[in-house]
Amino acid sequence: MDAAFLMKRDERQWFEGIVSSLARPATKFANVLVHDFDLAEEIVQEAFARLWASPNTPSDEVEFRRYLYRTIANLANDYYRRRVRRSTSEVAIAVVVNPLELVEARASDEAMQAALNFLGLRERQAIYLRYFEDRSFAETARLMGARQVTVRVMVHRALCKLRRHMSESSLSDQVAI
Amino acid sequence: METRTFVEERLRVYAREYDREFPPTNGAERRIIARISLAPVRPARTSGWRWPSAAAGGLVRELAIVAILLILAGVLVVGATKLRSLPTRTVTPRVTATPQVAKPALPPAYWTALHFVSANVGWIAETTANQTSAGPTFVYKTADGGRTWQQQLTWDGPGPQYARFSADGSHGLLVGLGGVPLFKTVDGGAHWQRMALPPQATQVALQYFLNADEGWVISYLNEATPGIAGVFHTTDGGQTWTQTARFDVNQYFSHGLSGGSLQGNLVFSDSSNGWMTPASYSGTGITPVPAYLYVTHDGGKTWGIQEFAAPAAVGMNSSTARFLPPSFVNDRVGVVLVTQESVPSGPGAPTIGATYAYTTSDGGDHWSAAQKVVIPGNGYGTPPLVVIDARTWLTFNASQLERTTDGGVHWESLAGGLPHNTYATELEFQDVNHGWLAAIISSGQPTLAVYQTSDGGAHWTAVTAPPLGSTAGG
Repeated sequence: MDAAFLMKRDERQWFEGIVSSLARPATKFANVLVHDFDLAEEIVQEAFARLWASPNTPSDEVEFRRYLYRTIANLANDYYRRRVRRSTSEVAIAVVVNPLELVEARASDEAMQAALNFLGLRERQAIYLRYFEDRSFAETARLMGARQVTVRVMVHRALCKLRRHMSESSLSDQVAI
Repeated sequence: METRTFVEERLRVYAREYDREFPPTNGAERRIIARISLAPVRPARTSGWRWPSAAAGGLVRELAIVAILLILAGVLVVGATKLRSLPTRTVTPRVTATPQVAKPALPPAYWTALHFVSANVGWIAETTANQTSAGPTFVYKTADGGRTWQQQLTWDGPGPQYARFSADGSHGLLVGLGGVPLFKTVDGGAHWQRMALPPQATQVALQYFLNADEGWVISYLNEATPGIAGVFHTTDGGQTWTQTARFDVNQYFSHGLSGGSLQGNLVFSDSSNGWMTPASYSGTGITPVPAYLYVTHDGGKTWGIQEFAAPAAVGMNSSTARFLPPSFVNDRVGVVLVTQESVPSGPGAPTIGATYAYTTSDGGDHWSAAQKVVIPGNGYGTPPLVVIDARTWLTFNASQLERTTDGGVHWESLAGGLPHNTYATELEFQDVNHGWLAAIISSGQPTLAVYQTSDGGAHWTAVTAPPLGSTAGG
């Protein structure tokens, strides 16, 4: 076996461990950003492929996660930009089964689900990291590559939006008598 | 108006539910690993220089970008001025070696199922990957050991999760994720009939098909109270379904958890005995219990707990044990692998510990003591472990087939004449000698290939692979 082969095998085993531990949280993160399970999977795959190819990818898992989440957020951004450009000419293709819809259908808090869809991409990231992954403001800021005070403001505004949207939707459910 | 605290609490409850019910991502992990395995050699990691603004904020970065742009503009202006003043002459550029750093190419398609019922007759499914892994999917059959392939079926969706055929190849079943689509044949694939799940099974959480006729689906029911699920059973390939159980998941499948979950894997060894791997959680409010599987002995009507003793001096429990679904060689002999993981309460990835095997020779009524095993490639790779008998297992690791004949204690590499850039995605053995392997071959543009062995993997012969996404067949 030549040196290149052995190196690739060692590297691959290291990377497979990372994929095994981070693919699921990364897909959940991507899913919250793009609301499409297939697309989230594709974005996560692309992000891992880019990190695999980059010589600057850190080996430390905490740092790796930060790089991964930033890459996913950038790819989600690209997706929305492309979608805006294509929106006038493309027809959406029906997906046979969308597990995200199943997840969301099972979620009993429909008002919360609907309210989350109204948040911007950065706000969704902040809310996901802070409440879905239960991270501190410092960790959330580090993962997003933003200052802590910026993230605090972002989360505060996102919570206000959620609160406002849920209040409005609960009012709209009421019937005047 | 909701208070902020109330919104935060609702968010946390929603997040827990989202986490519990998020679909498995095993398929995605397999595709990622397959893709990175296609890269030539990964460039050396550098601890390296990092952009300082990640910690310092955006202002420094923006100022730096502006400064760099100004310098570049200056250099361009000065350079252009100097160039104009130079006399014309021919310059031969010096060629320097450029390190090959490339993002792994996306294969044109993935193998998504492989099943042979004899040395000659088998089926293979490929799912194209032009946009997403959502298809379309093409199913081919060979009746001459892979020399020619005939396209039998295609659908616009992900590949099958199960491909089951009877021993004579007449009855067949192809089942996609969540039971969609569900195709059945009774004439060796000459005709396929699309089946439907029972209408009550609106949100399928788990499914398992024992053979081409019998299968189970566990699905949430569309009822006013969330979390109510039903077990549905078919013995005629999805033609008819019988609901055999109904339960509240939060009560019934919540052993050692703060809420119920159907997030594991479902396996049956025969018409009566089945197992479900639980989701492993750790965190506030969760008190770990001994590692366990859910088990049924009446075809899924009732479920209980089957505990697995932790290995000596190893602190393995329900929060740290990650079970692979049990593999059964027949209705008596089986093996289940469990990997110990320690999940940090804060940020950071889980720490993967040792892997242990429990074996049974009485159909899963009793399991052996834990035996520490080593799975090549940490067991994360694809295809998953193939269990031929209680002690002979095969897996694929870094372009090489690995075999153990002592239940995972020692492994040997079987080079077998496969190209070094082979990456197996499907591996199947009919017995200890006869096997098939569907692989992606890394080259400039990755291609798909199929191999056959009749000496236990010592030698492999390439057979013709079906054409990609063809409508004409091979």
